[in-house]
Amino acid sequence: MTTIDRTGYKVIGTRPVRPDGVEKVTGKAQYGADIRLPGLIHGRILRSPHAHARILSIDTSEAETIPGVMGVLTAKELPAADDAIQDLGEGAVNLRELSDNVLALEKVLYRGHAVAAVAATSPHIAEEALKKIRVEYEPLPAVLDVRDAMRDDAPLLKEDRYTKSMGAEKTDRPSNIASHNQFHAGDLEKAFAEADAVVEREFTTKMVHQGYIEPQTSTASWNADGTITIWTSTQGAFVVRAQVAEVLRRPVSSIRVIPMEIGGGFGGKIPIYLDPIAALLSKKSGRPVKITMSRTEVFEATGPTSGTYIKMKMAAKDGVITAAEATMAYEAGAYPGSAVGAGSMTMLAPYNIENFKIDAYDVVVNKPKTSAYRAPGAPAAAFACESVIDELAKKVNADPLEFRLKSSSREGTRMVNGIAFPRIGHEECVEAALNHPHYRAPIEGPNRGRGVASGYWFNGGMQSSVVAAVNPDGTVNLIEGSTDIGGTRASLAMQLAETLGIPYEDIRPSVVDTDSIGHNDVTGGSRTTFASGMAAYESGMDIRRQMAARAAKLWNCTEDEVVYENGTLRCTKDSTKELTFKELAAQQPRTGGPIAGKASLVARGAGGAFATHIVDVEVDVDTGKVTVLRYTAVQDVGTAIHPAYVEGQMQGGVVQGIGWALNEEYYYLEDGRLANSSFLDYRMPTSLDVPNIDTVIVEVPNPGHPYGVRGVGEVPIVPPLAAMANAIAEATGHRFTDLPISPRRIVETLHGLEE
Amino acid sequence: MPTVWVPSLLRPLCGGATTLQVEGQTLGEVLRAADARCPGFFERVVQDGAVRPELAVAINGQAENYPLHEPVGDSAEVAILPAIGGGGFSNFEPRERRPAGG
Amino acid sequence: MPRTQVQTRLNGADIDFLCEPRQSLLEVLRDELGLTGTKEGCNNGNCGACTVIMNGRIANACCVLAVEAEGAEVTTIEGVARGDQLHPLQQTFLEEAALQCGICTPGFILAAKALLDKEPNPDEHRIRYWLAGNLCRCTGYDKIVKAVQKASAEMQEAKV
Repeated sequence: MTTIDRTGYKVIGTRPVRPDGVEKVTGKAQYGADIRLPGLIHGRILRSPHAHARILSIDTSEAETIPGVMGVLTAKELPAADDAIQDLGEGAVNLRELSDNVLALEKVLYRGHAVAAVAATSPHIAEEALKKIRVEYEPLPAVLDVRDAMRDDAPLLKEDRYTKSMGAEKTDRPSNIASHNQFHAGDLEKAFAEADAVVEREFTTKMVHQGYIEPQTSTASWNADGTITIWTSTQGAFVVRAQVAEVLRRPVSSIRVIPMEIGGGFGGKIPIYLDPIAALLSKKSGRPVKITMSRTEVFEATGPTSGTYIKMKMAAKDGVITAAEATMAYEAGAYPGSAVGAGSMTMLAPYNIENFKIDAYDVVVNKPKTSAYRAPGAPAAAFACESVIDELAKKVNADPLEFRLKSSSREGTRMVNGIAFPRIGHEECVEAALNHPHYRAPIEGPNRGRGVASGYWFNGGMQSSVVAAVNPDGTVNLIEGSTDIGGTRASLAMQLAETLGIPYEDIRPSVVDTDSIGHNDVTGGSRTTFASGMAAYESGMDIRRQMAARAAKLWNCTEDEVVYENGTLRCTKDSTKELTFKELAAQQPRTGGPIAGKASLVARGAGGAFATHIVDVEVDVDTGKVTVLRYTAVQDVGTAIHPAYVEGQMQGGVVQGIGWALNEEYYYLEDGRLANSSFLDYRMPTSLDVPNIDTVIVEVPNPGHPYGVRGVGEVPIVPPLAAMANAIAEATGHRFTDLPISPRRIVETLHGLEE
Repeated sequence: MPTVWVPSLLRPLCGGATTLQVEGQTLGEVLRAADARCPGFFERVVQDGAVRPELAVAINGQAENYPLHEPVGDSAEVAILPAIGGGGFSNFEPRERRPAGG
Repeated sequence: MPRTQVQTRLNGADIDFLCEPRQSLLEVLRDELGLTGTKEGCNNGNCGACTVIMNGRIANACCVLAVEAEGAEVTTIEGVARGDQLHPLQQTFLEEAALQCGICTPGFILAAKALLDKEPNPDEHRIRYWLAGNLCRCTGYDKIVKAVQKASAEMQEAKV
């Protein structure tokens, strides 16, 4: 697959208004909670107050008698799932564990774990009914910190879990360490012994949440014929369908998932929480049931990302990084499956390092089961690696960006897992940063500092299906199954328009349900513009071939003699024979019937993406407030299909990273209660907390995509944690290795007030 | 001959080797050939006729949910990695429909 | 629970509705009146997704009891455009790509409208300060601020 010459694009690279834009600015777009159905009733969920406990009994009898209550549910009514691991769009999930997380059967493993549910004619009645459900618990000791959970004497979440180690069970005693993996090459001992400089540090990060503004919601109707219809805000309607089918033990074909517009996901809206409950309550009550989480439930009972512990040691010799040794332990939450694997593979990706050893541990703790959060695993790993690199650069008196450039990965460099990079753009990013006016501008004044950091994310391919149907007026309906979280209707329409040589406005994209299109994997993994775009391109090429065949018939020439260029078909042997796309579209009925192009594919050739960020901060050493003075994000995007939405992904990821670095954390009390499960105290950045985020789009086209696309959505959140820590280190003279670098932590540290 | 990058944790099975050159025209054949050199290798990677769901296989740098009958070219490189959550390589396939045999 | 009748002026029209005293204005707008453009993000006044304009001031509808709308003048996102004529803010949000998932957008448009109605020419800091009660997780605010600045410039030009 070759990349088309960039300069010739007519649509790609422009900034049209997105097709779903008017609905969204006028409040007409229908998000999950906006669904209104005849007879709709409301569900609410009862949750565990204990971080770890056995469920002794659940008595729902009184709740069932309350007027207005139409159904009550506990885990006993969920079909038991096999203890079998299945793949799940983004990550592997044990199905029994998925079912247990939806409604706990024998044990609750975190405060907020669902234990029962009620459906009633009003949400208020449902909430009152919850209070009448009596649950008897036997509280157990809880473990809330990843290092504590790894100790031999830690309370066990599962008495028969043994550490898995690439297909084998490693330990002979049960453990909260669910798995261990390792990457290893070269001679570490020698490299450290011969180094010019060595830096070793320990880092911790806290559990944080994706922070999407729309809480999870699902509405289900169990129909009289045994089929189930679900309306939900999700990153993947097909993944919801598959999960619900497995949890409820129903055939996939009996479930139709209608994806509504989605108010943010970032990886957190891939697992299901509510759908099976809503479906079963609908079955019981004979009514459609809507369940929407409160913000507190979102914090306590969805899928935040891991708190982590990382020990990192790196060496440099002759100005290049020669060795890296890391121990990484990530909280999986209540069930195994953190993103430590991805973290271990992305951590060193920007650099060509001969000698390395990374030990990665996935550890369960009494907190909600973690889910993907934008480049899952990578930000914490980069925080450790890029902080140590910063200190290393200082020790050898090198400019931090020059130092990174000297050790940079390039095409052919092998990642820690043995995979050789195809064409990549880290060097280009670092060079763009080095030459940027931001980096050249002096930073002056007390308590001010500048930090830089790089980062990497793989980007996904996976499956996409589209159909493109040509209308008689020369417009094209693009039917796709990728839910649109950030403008992908536009980016897909642009790629199809480019392929067909017709105006962007002539493409009508629609996102349809699971009955109406072939399989699409999730909108996530930075894959949609890449993979669904590739499918859009293929469907366009399919249309072109069909049109060429018809033109050949009309003109009595061979198909080889028909050329398709810029939306026009020509016969090479007779220059008078010419038809535009529009003209041929109008003639469909007379030339063989409707024309529709289709493509269903597994997209191969995803291009990894690098980013390099620069940030200037000022620290108020009396209050601990960190002001972000200036931020520049440089990123290799392959080809920017719609530059404004590419910039938006960069800016959004940066600001999430700033929040993660400075303020966001799950603040647990000793009994396993989350003290800050509201937006007031789970402190995400507001417009006043950040400046404009300047973006530099670097384009090293991905040879694996017809338009050179690389995924762009995730890598922007990878560098900011370290960039901020490095800037704060410059500003204060103190290296903070524990996130968040909150005002309290700064004041306590700088004034010597820590315990 | 295809090259297999031996994951660190499986190197003890292979006498410490970090790569193996093995015969095979499909992924399954390559993994069995590796098993012949490193007893126990196959069952560490494969379960019930498919690559274990917590692992992913990359052929020439492309990581995917390959079936064991996936063709492997003569100069192909095969790497075995943890499946990643996010930007993932795996798709959801219910247990009953997973292929039998390998 | 017995329901109260409330009379209010909503998006320029005199209407009345029935509600329980415990229902918030947000709940009534969405569930009783079918106006789902006002969104629920947190239900305790911390995210601004439910921003409406009430008697000339912005308010989080989740923190207003529906009965408080009695005799008040309320504007929701559904009342910002005039027919198919978008408000300049709606137009600039589209042009400047100031929305990604769009869930916070109605709240931001109401809040920004209230600002520009009051102060036609706010500087960047004033805009950021005013909008700090509206959370956005997707955009990082950069393009939202630029969209407000652009709308402000266009609205001033239109007056001249």
